[in-house]
Amino acid sequence: MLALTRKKGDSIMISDNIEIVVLEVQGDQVKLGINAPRSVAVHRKEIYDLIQQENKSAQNVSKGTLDLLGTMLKNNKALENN
Amino acid sequence: MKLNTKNFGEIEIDESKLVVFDETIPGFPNSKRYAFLFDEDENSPFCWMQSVDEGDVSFALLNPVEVLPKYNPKVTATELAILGDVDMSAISVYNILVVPQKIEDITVNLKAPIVINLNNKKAVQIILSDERYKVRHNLQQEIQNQREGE
Repeated sequence: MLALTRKKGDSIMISDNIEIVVLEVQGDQVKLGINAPRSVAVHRKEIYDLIQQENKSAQNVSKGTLDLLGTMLKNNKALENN
Repeated sequence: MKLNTKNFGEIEIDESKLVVFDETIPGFPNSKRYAFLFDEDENSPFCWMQSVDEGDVSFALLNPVEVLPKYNPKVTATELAILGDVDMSAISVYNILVVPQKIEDITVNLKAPIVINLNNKKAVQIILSDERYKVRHNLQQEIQNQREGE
């Protein structure tokens, strides 16, 4: 991993269109500003990891399960209508 | 084209109907193109999004419009920028389902919906900054909650 030392107000460029600015440093907290094209997605790593993990869990759903769920939902509706 | 899949065996895919993720779904960097497979029952809120690039990758999706009528995520123009020119009336939203051991425990990911621009077939999984929505909502509970408030 490339490690760079920066001060408040300093920034780094990634490629020619992504700029990361150190806005504020307070104790062990750092506030970063990100200037990037709108099509570049920026996420906090922990939430990105969570979504990734959930997407992988989603692979366990089988066709049978979903068919069953469809039936359950339908029966549920039928009950309410009666 | 023909495609071998984990859930559906060999299926025929209409290439003109595929959706494309320019930014891939987190966890699946090798799948850019997906086909939508709908239930024979037109009223079913469920469908599948099957990867065309990896036959064993597929997502069971919920169309929230009917069953979760109050699901109304705040989405910013920035979050949709990757979809190109967006006409808000030509957008589809789906949520990914996860089924643990027991079917009653099925959860729906309301935090990171799949959004599709129907005009150009570009799709993206958005991670909402909207704090009302979590990665795991119990589906049955959520359906119940949304009905009670009516």
